This record gives sequence, C-alpha cells and structure tokens, in this order.
Amino acid sequence: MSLFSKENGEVFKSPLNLNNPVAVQVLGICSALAVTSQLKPAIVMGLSVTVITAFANVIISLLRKTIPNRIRIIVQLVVVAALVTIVSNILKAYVYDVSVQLSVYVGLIITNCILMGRLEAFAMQNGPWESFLDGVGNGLGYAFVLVVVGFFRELLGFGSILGFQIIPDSFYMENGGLYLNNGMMTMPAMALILVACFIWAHRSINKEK
Amino acid sequence: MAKLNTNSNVYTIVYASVMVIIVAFLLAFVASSLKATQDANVARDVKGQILSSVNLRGEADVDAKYAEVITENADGTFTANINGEEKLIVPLKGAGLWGPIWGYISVNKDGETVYGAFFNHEGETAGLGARIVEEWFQTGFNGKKIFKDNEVALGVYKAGKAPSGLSADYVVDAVTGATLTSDGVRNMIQKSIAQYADAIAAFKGGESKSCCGKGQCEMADSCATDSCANCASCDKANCASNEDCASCEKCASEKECGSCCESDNTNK
Repeated sequence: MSLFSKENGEVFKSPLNLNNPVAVQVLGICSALAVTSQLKPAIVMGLSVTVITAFANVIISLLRKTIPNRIRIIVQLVVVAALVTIVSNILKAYVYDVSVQLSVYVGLIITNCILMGRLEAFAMQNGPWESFLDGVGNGLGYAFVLVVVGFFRELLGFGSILGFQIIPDSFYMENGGLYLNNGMMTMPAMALILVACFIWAHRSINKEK
Repeated sequence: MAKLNTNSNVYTIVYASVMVIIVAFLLAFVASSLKATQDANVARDVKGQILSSVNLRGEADVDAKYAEVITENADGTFTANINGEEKLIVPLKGAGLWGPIWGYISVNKDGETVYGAFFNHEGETAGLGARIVEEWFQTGFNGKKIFKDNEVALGVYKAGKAPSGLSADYVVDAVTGATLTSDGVRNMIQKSIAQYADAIAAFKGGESKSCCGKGQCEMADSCATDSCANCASCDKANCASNEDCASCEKCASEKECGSCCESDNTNK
C-alpha cells in the first residue's frame, strides 16, 4: 500500500469537510469557546492541537497491539499528557516567547475531546502513517472552524483582525459615526452560536452527500 | 511466538507499572535537564517585565539594559534611572479571575504620577482578561495620579462606573468583557501600592522639589537653574506656553520661579 494511496488521501481529507470533528462530530466545542474571541489565539490553538493529535496518534498506533484493553483510555491519556508536558518544557527552555503564548492552552490541549476521540476511534485500529494523516487532518479540520469563528468574533467584537483595526475609527459612535462594536461577540456564548451557524452552513452545502 | 494475552490481569498491571515508570523517568529527565535554561529564561523574562514598567518594551538585550537602568532595593522595590531621572518601581501582586496576576508600576519623583505600568497573568481568558498584558492597556496608566487624600485612588473602572467625584486623572478604562480581571487589577494596584506607600513617601523625599508640576523639572531644586532645561526657567514668559505653569501668571511680579511655584502649590 503506497504512502499516498487514495484511501490515505481520504483519511486526510474527510475530517477537513465531510467528517469535520467540530461541525459533524461536535467534538472540541469547549476549547472553541475559550480561545476564539480573537483570531490569533484561535490559530495558535488550532496548530497546537494539530501537532499534538498527529504525534499522539502515531505513538498510540505503534503501541496499539500491546495496550491492555481495560486500561486503554488511561494509557492514551498518559501518552497525551506526557507528550504535551515534554513539548511545553522544551518550548520553555528554547523558545520562551512561544511557550508564554501557549501556556494557557496546554491544559486545554490535554483535555481536548478530539484528541481522545481520534486515539480511541482511529489510532487503536490503524497503522502509524494512516494515524498520522488522520491526526493532521482532524487537527486542521478543527483549526479551520476555530479560525472562522475567531475571525467573525474579532471582526464584530473588536473591529479588528489579528489586532489590526479594520473598521475605521471614524465610524464609531464615540467619534461621531454610527457603528458600535458588538459586545456580545466577546462573550463565550456567541462562540456556540457561531459554531451553530457554521454547522448550519456546512450541512446546507453538503446536503446531497 | 505465542501471542500475549493482553487481557490478563498480570499483563495489565505490569503494563501500567512499566508505562508509569517510563513516563515518570522521562518527565523527570526532561524537567531536570532543562531546568537551568528555563530558569535563565524566566529570570530574563522578569527583568523584561520590570523594564516594561518604565516603558522600555521589547529591548534587544534585556540583561544589559537591566544592569544599566535598574537598581534593586532592599524592601523589594526597584529604582530606575531613566535619562538621569529616578523612578521608583513597585511590584504588584494580586488575583485575577482564574489565577494570579502580577505587575510593576513606576512612579515619578513627585511620588504621585505614574510613569509606566506593566501587568501579566497566569491563566486569564485569552482575548479577554489576557489583554491586560497588551501595551495599549498598560500605557493607559501613564501620567495617571495615584494618591488622593493619602489613599490609593488610582483604579481600573468600566466606562461610567467609576465612583462619582473621582477625576479622570485616577481612572483607567477596564478591558471590555473582562470585568472580573479588571476588578482584580484594581484591587491589586490599590492593595500593593498601599503596602509600599512608605517607600513611595521616602522616595519622594518629604518635600516637593517639583517645579511647575512638570516631570522634567523634578530633579531641580529651583526652576531657575539650568538643570531645568526642559522647563527652561519658570519666569512668566516661558510659563505662558506651559499648561502646568499657567497659574504662574498669578506670580507675574516674581522672577524667581521656585518661589512662584511653591506659592502656587500652597494655593492648591
């Protein structure tokens, strides 16, 4: 079986759209609330989860034949937690700035349901390479939803994108304009509503499939 | 090779034990071998935070700049020397919404005006409470006043929620959507500064050396001297263009600035 066979391509592509972890499987919603009030943390979180899911998938896939069935969830959790802790230690020693940025997310990465979901549903049954593709695909599928939600929340809630002001200052009420930032968008509840809108749009587009 | 029975009790227990020992060893090894580098990073980060509180953000060589500018005092405060002017840096510690928050705030020689501020946090909500580390929020403190009737009045308030009668000199706008973190910053500032009120009073040196209330003149005993270069001298001609010296017009007859401003201060 070649590395880039059609089946493997499907493993990689399906979580990006038809089997999206957030929009279809409705996993990882909690972290989608926490980090999407601005675009930048959403991107950082998306990439972190992608990397960790991919490597945890590979490790569990390599161990899958030896893991005792009754404690498999605990084994998966230990692998994820150890991986995240080691990575965050290395970052703290060599790229301190990045580690400061990520510090908030470390805990959120470990508890992300997508990670456990993929380990349990995919890596336990498949080889390392397929598992790696599956991890990257699911991570990116998750990152995509986070970026979309983060984009709208930052644009409507703060009037900026990645910290750059998009809506001109002169439009604002305090400067005599007619525009006001939507304070609701900065609240976590709006993330759920935006995710719901995303799922709605996603289902409408993919109706026939 | 006979296939292992991965469901047997013995196998499960041995597997769990071995896994735990390997992971524990791995984590201990990683943590201890990287500790020195991490500690150095943390120490440099703290120095960077202290420098940020005197508006020296993003210095390329933090260690060198810190050694040049900052002196550590025995009581936990720091003295900074910025272009020949002394600033007192007071450390702040408090609680935000989810965990500890901390910061540093620097005070001008008048013991009254904020020169700069820096805040950091451990786990405030990204995009909301976490925004207290951003420069726009911190620079909002520059030039604000701290004490009112010998109490720390400086605080962070939602627009329109500041206590009535508190002038804008004491109020910094809170972060949108982060009411509890902003409240934490306010409590932290008021409690921590109160603890160091004596240090600030001592730093001030008892008597007011300020000339016309302008920062540039803090060090000068009398505004007539050359050391007051930025304020030139405080005779009326120069003071006219200077909003803080406008009241010197009352003293039009007095050429000697020092006395002019002192009498002005007593009028307030």
